[in-house]
Amino acid sequence: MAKVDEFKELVSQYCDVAAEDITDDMRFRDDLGFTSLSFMTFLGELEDLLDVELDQDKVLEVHTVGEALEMLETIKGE
Amino acid sequence: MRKEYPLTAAQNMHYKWIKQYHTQQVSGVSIVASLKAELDFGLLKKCIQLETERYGCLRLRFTKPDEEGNIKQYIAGSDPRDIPLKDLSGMTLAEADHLMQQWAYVTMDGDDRPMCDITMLKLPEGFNGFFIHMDHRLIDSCGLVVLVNDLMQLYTHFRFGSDYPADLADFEEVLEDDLKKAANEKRFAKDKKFWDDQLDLRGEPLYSDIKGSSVLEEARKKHNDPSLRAADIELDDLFVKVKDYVLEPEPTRGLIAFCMNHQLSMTNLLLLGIRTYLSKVNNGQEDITIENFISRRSTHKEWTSGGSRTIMFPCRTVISPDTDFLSAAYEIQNIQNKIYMHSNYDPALIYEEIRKRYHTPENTTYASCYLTYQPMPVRVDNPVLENMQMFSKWYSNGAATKKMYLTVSFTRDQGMNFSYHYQTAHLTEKDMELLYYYMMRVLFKGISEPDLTIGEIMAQV
Repeated sequence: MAKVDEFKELVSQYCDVAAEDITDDMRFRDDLGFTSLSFMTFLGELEDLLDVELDQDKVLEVHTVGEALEMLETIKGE
Repeated sequence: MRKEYPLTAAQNMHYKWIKQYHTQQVSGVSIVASLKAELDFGLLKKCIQLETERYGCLRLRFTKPDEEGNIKQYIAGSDPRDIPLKDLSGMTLAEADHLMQQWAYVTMDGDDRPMCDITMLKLPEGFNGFFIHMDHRLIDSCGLVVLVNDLMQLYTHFRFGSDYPADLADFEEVLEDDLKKAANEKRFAKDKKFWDDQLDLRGEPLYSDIKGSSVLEEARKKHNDPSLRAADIELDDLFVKVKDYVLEPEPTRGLIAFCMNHQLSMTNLLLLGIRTYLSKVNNGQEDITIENFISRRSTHKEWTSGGSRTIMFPCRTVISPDTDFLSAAYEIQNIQNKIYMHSNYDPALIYEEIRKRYHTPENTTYASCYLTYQPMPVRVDNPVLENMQMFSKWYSNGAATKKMYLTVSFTRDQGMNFSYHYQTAHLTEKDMELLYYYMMRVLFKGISEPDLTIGEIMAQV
């Protein structure tokens, strides 16, 4: 799925893990080393890349890669 | 033909201060880095010249201002200047320190000229190294730490055969990327909406001063406006002094543990400490604004590209005294996270909107305190050099655009250093002592009894 690839490629620019090694259960902060700043900056860039609008309160409940992908799927379905 | 670029928002912030205060001194940044070891200065010179090629921001120059005062930037292809060596070894360390402080005051005036000077140094007590003096539009403190480390890695590679440092990101590519993002209309509209919504929700901010409400009262008298909500900034006497306080490793661990246990960032805890102090000395004022500096470095490229990426945004907190300490910390964290998402925005536009809405007088502000939290240690991170004694120091440019600028960083033994830069025209060392003392009292009372309300904490400390 192209968007998942794009998503993981973007994640890899923010951490020391290659896109192909990023799995759904990985936690942004604990496993991928994101800080609050890098996570929120990443989400802003994600909005621009995928041309979506994220709910600023809901994004704060996202902790894992899988949860983020799920959130994107929900937005796509709305 | 050379490629010219407009300034980024972060660079414009410094340029605005240069124009407002009529001196480039406010944009100076200086550091000395040295080792207690013999250095091969011929080799060090070659490494500095190589570093100038690797780290494109060192070759950044600015054009002459146009009729509207705007300038552009470009990257010079090379910098063939010699790297001078100065011998201060005959001085005491205090004398050498004093001399370097004088160098940090030197302005880099004129256009189309190098804005970075590096001097190799023989220092007292067997220390040897280099002094870097630059314009902040070229680099921020994170960028300087990367520079010092990369330079030392180059030296140890050629001198001791250690690994060649990894490639640095291309400064020009990252700059182009930044300018492209800033020009994204959809992103701009989202960011503008966020900042406008803050004003719609809360109206005009309200000034709070380290010394209490009398400062705003004075401003109201001066402007003959009893409802004025902003106070004047100092434009003439910019002299600044620095007072450092060190929090020992043990209590520092307590703050870190509290942050980890409650998923809070240290920046937000510090913001809560400062805003509670300001509320206490301003008759319990609930609406407090602190300017918080954000180092916009998140991707690999942003970390190693150099450049000036640090930018300040207002952190506005409206917290009732009935709010418990932990909830107040989360309130700050919530708003800060949203600010991070909109940190591509040019903060100058926030103030333009405020002036448009509330007709705030020129040269006034809502904030007396500015915070930078630097989790990145300022040290040479190089295994070849780890057993060598080091001397490094940041030098103040001596001209403060801000009434009080607090930099919080970690010490080598994992304590925390609180470095207060304060304008001597309005503040004294005693004011800084009180600020530090009450900040600590607030923070430690809060982390030990997080259910206490902000009002209770203000009453008890």
